[in-house]
Amino acid sequence: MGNKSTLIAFRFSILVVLFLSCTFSLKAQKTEQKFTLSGYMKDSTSGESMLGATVYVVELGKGAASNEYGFYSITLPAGSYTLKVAYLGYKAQVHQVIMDKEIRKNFALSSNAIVTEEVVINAERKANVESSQMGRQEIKIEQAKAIPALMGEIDILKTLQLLPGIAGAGEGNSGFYVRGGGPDQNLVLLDEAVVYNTGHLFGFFSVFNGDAIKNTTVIKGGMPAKYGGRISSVVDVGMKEGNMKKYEVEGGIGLIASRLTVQGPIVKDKASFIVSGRRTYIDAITSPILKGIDGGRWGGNGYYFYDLNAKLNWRISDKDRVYVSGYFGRDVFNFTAPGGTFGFNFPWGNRTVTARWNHVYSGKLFGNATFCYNDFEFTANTNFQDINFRVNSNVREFTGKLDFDYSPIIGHFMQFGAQYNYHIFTPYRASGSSGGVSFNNTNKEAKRAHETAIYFLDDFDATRWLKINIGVRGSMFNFVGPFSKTVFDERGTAVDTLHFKKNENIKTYWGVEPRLSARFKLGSNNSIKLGVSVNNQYVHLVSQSNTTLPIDLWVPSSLKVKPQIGIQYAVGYFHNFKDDMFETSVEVYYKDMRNQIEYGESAVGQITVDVEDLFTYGRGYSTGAEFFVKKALGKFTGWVGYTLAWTWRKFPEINNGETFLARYDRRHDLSVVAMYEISKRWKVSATFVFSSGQRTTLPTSFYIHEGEPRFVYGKRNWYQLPAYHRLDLGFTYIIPHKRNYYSDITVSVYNAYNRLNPYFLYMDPSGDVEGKVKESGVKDPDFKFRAKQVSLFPILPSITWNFKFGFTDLKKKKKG
Amino acid sequence: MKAGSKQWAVSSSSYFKYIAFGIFLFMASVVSTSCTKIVDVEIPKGEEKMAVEGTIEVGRPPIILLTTSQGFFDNININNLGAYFVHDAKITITTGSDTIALTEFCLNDLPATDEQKKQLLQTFGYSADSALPIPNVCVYSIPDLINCILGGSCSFTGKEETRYDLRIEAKDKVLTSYTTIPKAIGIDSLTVRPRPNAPADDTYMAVYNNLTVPKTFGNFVRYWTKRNDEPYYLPGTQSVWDDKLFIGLSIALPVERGYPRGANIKPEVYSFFEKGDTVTMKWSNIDSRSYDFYFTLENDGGGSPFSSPVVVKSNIDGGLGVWAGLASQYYTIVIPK
Repeated sequence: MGNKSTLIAFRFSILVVLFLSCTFSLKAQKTEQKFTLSGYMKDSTSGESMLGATVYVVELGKGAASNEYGFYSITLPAGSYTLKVAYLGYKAQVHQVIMDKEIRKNFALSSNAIVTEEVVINAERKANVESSQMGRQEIKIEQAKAIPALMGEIDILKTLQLLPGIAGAGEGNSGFYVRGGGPDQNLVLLDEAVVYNTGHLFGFFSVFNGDAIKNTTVIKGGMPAKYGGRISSVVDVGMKEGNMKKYEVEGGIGLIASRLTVQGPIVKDKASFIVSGRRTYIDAITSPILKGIDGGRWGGNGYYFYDLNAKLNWRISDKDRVYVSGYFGRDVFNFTAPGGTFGFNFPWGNRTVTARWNHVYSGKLFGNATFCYNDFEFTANTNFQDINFRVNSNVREFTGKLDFDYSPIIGHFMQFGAQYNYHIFTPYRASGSSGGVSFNNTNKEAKRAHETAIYFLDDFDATRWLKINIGVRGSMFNFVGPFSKTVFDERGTAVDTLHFKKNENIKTYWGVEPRLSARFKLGSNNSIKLGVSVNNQYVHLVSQSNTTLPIDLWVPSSLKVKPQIGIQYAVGYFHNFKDDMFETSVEVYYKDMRNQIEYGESAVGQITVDVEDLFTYGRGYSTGAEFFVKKALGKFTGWVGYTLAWTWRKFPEINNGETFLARYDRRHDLSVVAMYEISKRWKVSATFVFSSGQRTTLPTSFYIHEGEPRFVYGKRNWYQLPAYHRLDLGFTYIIPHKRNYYSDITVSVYNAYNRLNPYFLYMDPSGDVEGKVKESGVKDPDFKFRAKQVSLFPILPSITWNFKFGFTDLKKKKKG
Repeated sequence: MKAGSKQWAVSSSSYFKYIAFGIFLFMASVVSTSCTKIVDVEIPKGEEKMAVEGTIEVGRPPIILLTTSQGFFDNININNLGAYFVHDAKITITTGSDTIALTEFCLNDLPATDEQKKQLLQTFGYSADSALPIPNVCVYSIPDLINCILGGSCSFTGKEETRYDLRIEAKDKVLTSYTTIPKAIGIDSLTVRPRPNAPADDTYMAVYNNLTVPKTFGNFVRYWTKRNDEPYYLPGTQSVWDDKLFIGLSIALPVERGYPRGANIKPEVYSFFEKGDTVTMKWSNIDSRSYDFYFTLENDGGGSPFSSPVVVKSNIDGGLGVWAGLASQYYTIVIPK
């Protein structure tokens, strides 16, 4: 394959350019005396650190942004400078500084209650044109809260799907597709811990409680070298740290779920905590309904979910900070058939624990060490007559990361670091008993692997108009024992069993992943960017159904399964209008995805089989153009995003080897989001989405076997479902309140014009081959098929009461 | 609950079907706001293929039904049934050095009473109701089939551990296949147990299958149940079973009762027999390719969002359907009153 040698040549040339750029930057440093200005950016009322706040040096026309911990660093030649400090939604500040020594300066910004049209040089909005990073969007939680939500439950992941290039998998589905990639190709992080299952109730609600989240960053193209392990996108969700200055209680009571968050200082301005919880009461609502139907035989069944987020934040000194955060979420479904002959109990959920330590080594070097543990587990307990059966599967991960931000000189920003993960994948472990005899499946062993990576990147100004972000990530994956693999022949007879000892290396995969992007400035308001990136992915989620289910299994690369490789090329034009009030962009991409996995055409999932024995492999390709217009300032804000895209797959063992469109191929995807502040009391918002129908494999003919019709399927994904479109409306009334107390009533209407969007389509036979007797006694001998479409949500209004109150001192509160 | 719709199965080989059913049920009970409507779809007419429903059992002559596939929006009714059978096909079966040519028999041409015809129909899965004319089902078999059915001698019957090659020439196409009747490996016994949490005057009982699974993998089975004078019915969820989970074990598993298609059964009594019933189980060993066909056929999700369409693994080259060899044994138990 010529592709492989081109890839090697490309990787090598990247390394050469990297080396040259580093030497260039080192040389530049020797000429003048320079000093570093660094410090933290935080919110003046809560002490929360701010990601992406900018410090802009007017005299040099350059600036720097704060990282996710709020730390910024600029190295300037000796002299006197004017600094403009800004962050969207906050009052800008102007400071004078004399650089004649190393300076540590922290900035505390106060929020601007109403975002006005005041013209401010806001480098954050300039990022659209200035930054070398393509395909990156940040969603602040306040934005997500302003958008109408299903049943009033704020959902960051659904908000992301309103951006071009990011498509939801549809109602009832927690997955999302970024630029034509599958749902397992998105790295979803919560405080640096991987979240494997991002949905409650099959994706109707996400696991992210809006009150505990601070910001969310999505990178859908040109993933910087700091991130890896997935080939399509990174969704980096950061939790709030906890108010350092005063206690706050916030929450909401809604139709189907309620939430409560408590945060505050443990030691004022030194240590703080935040605890946030959410629970549904669908079970409480459906229980009386179920008891009322069919003579109460269905009572005792129910479903509920809950989330708990907690975080501790300790500012040890001006140089050191420690954070410990955790997430615990669960869905539980209980079902007992009338008469008690048949019962189910399904709990499933994620858990994450992260500990981080920031250390400021010098004004120029900031480091962060992270340790985390995360897991996702699913269990199904069933009983039928007197057989008990239990199936359990889980995926666990221990991670250690070291990340450094190094700003040697203004105009260069470097990041480097290393990462280590230890994965343990436990496939379906089944055990059970029947009348005293117990049994379990032969496929009990967990799969273990070590994944390591090192990276380096430099984001630098090559010339006045050219900014380059060049990075490289080296990754390695070792599949290790203890493990036993039974090898079967085509007939299904076991021919051999291979045994591997503990920590014995079974298979190694590694890769060099170059990441390059560049920005060519055309004027003060517009630029062209282009980028190429190569990504490796070593863990995979292969779903057999058309919807993501908690029983879907994550599997590592192994003897048979190779790592997925994604190569993405993108080019875009970026233009800001009217003093950065409008950000617009057009991005065009092409993605080549290798070693893609699907289940074989005749595969049937069984617990006795190692799922990888059911896989077949092939390639995926996607291409598209994304158009985006965003208005971020003023009383009226919002955006319009439109994507035109194609996604194909080609697998030798599927569809007779012919190229077919992927199930989630969506030719057109349009999102319109509009938010308007009518007054201090009233806000209104609307969302309109339109996407071309998903694809499905419908049968094209049938034959009779043992008296029943059996399907013959057509080409893979040959049929396109009708288009999906929906309008959501939201109204918020802010109740007049005292200073430290806030409350509002939010009404949202989901699917305002009640469109019956297709959930799935099936062929329903009616009549009988031989005839069925109708009530009149006459037989209906006609047997025919009708296509039926099932829809999920009609118009769904909901009302939520949200509140927030704070108090500075517990003692004072008691007195008052 | 409807028999033939997804029910819990004895066999744990395909656990996902009932997990998927559970999830589907849960979706239905919680998300009570869903709606279904009929829509128009344009389905292009697929290529017409021939479907084979062929079996050969130990001690019985081979029986082959040959039909054609249909487009979705043609009507099929009992008066048209004859049109879907393929007539005048040239079918031969070869075993070792013997080759036999099969003859076509149509129900209407048989010198049999209506009752006998209905019984014959039932063996093919067609339940004949009294109100309609008997469908003209046609089969291919040995030339002396009538004599064989009536108790006389049969010129060609199946034998254990023998391979049978099939060749069909019809409609300018050639279909081929082969199957092997394996060795008959039976069960130890059938026993009965009361229903769990049963009231004192309960009339229902569960039938249990006690068997010892051979130590070597590679045994596949299909089973039917019959109650009193009723015909043999296949279990609703899964009628075929492999031994992967139970190799070398002696185990007792509940027998899933077979029901006629479309029957409505109350969930509390599903799969139980009644006191006083004479229950017969037909236990047939089949080869792995026949197992693959029946297994993929029964696990085809057909459009539900919780499963993918499964391409059925037919062992017919050039066509659809199956050519299966069976080594059957029958076990009876009378449930005491």
